[in-house]
Amino acid sequence: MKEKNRIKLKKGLQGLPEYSPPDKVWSEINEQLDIQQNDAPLHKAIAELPAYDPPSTLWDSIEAELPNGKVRQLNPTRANYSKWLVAASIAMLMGAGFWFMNGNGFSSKEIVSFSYDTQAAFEGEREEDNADEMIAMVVGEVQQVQHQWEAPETVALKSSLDKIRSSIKEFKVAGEKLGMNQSMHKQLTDMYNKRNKIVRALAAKI
Amino acid sequence: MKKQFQLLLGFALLLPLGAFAQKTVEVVTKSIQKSMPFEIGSEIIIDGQKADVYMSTWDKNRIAVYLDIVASHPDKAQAEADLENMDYELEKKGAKIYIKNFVKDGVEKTASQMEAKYTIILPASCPVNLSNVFGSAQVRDLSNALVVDAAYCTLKLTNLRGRIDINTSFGDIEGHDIVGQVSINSSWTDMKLSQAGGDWKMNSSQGVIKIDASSSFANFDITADQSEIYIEKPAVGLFNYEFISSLSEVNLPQELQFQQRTISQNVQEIKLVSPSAKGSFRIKNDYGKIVVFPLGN
Repeated sequence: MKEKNRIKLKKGLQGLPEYSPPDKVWSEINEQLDIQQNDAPLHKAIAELPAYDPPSTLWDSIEAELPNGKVRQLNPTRANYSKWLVAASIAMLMGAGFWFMNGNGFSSKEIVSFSYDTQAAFEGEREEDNADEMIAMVVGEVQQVQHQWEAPETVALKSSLDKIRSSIKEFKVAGEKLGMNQSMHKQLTDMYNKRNKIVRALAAKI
Repeated sequence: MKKQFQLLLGFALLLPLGAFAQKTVEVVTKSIQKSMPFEIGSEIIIDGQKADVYMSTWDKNRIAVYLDIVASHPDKAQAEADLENMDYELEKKGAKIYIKNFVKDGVEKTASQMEAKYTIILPASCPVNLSNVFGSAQVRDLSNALVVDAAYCTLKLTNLRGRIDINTSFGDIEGHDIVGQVSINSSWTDMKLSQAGGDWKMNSSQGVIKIDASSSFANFDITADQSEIYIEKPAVGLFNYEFISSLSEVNLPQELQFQQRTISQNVQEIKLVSPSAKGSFRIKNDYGKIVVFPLGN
């Protein structure tokens, strides 16, 4: 079906005034979208805030406990003002929190705060009391086997053993200075295992 | 006699594990937070002591730093007092940003268990220089340059690009999706690498290196002593292999036709060249082990 006023319509459309948006319009829209996006978690969190209704008997109980049994009527304007002030403060604090978390308002100022907690502590493993004695015994036994003692592989193993034993000592000193946490206990256990692997490789030369 | 001795030793040095007894400690934390603008030429230099460092990126031109200094002790007052013994610096000198935590001069020992926890969020292109002892570091998504100097420290590195230089002793490295010019000097360090790319130059002493070759198409140039190197799940025809093994155990899959040549009494050369290779393993290992796992395992 053909539009009867096609030519008039076309002319009319062609005659419509052209409009170019100002240069900044897209960047402003983007900024607005960013603000909305950044504020979205705030609005969501506010919407999710729990609402608590006091028990219905609460006000009666309060009134009964007052000396003359009367509740002083607050000036309605002042009461509303206080309520709005508290609400505004909470909203501002939450807004600042989200703003900060989003990284937009990251404080360039150094902020220092303290916090306290109670946690389970771990006591680490104890090294076998006779480890040094056993290592000395193995080294002594290898030394008896002259051709093994001077073999390049044994020399490399002895050098590694010396290194890891001195590293274990260094590690323990640091542990005593700053305290051993769970991760350090794990590292120390790994070091013991690596040391023991070398001792076993040396023992295999006997 | 020998067997008896080894048996005795096996029992004596088997595992120095003990039960982890639990008790409660008071944990006092001093938290510091600051952000700085990221400029062209900015570099972040971290010097941690017993620190757990977590580093990630965002698309903002700022570097945000959270630092927690933590003291744990059964007595809260003692923990509070010890917290003063560990100090920090967080400052910008020119384009460089320095962050460090340290035990104050003159402090011989703390009664509390001390540690520092860093969370640093920065632009991906910001170069990072990280030193740490007795702790851990998790670094992800950097695209420019990373230098790590670590001792007694576990490293978890994910999605890194660019130039990466790592020096480490007594630590573990878990690396995933690292592509670039990578240099690793390590001793007593175990490594697990997957999705590696680019050129890797590694020096390893007394370490265990495991490379997932099903996803890693890099050129590995590894010089090692007393180390174990495992090439896991190598894709068929996609790698060139060149091993020089000196008194090392070498296990190769039968499916691949390696060429073996004895260079001297204890030195072997093992080669395999594939025309379609996308990566290579050049390995020299003394007194260690090289294992190429069966294909697809």
